[in-house]
Amino acid sequence: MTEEEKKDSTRIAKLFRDYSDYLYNFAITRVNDEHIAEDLVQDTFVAAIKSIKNFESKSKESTWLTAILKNKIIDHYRKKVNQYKKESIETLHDTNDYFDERGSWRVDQRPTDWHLDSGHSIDQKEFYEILQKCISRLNELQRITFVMKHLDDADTEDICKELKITTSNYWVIIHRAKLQLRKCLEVTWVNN
Amino acid sequence: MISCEDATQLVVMKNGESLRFYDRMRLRAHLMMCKYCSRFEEQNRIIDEHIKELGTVTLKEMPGDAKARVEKKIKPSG
Repeated sequence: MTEEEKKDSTRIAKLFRDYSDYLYNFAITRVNDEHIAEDLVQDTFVAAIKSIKNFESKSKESTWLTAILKNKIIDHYRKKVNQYKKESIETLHDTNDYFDERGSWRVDQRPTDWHLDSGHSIDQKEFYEILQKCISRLNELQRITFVMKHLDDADTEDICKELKITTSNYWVIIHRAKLQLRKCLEVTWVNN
Repeated sequence: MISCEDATQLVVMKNGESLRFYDRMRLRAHLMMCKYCSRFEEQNRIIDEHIKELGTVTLKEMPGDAKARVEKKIKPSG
């Protein structure tokens, strides 16, 4: 190993110590699978090793690593979505658990009052954990679409292009995801 | 009047996207008369407010054995 290689490898080891938890957490909130999150973190560092020479230390290390990870996540989404897309879009259209044939809320599905106005504050950690759990229960296509929109704040147009879905399918997916999330939060968080 | 199913669809769409004037009016009229969809709107807003932060809150650290595996893989072989 040359001096320079040694220096790079020490630097990578330090980056790993500093950012592996952050990147792992970033990945797992988006892919919802420990093994995949581990693989993505690994792929991120493998890519980082290759490009560390071009990395200018004036930009932030965490930003640089997160950008690499984001690309790895998008690649993962592309692969996943091709497997799930067709069947998921079809089932989205013909299941209607929330509304009756006239489009009104079914009696047992009507949103209840969460009583958040009575000075009752949200326990942040608990809320996030339940929110994460509820997101993980969405189907693959819903989850990916939802995460891209809300966690990563991507443009609708970009998401549709990336996932090869139409805008109207996109809104159906988001609508269904929101209905399911709301219900899940109500059942697991509000009623507890 | 639009149905609850349509109204909730518009609620979800109005965030970030600009609804057509006509849809905005139809949604407003529906929400004035439907407490369930009004609740949906409020709760949808709560979800949106919290969800952005979800990506930055640390809920799960990388398990030690996973770290060890990855560290081994990224160590230079030499």
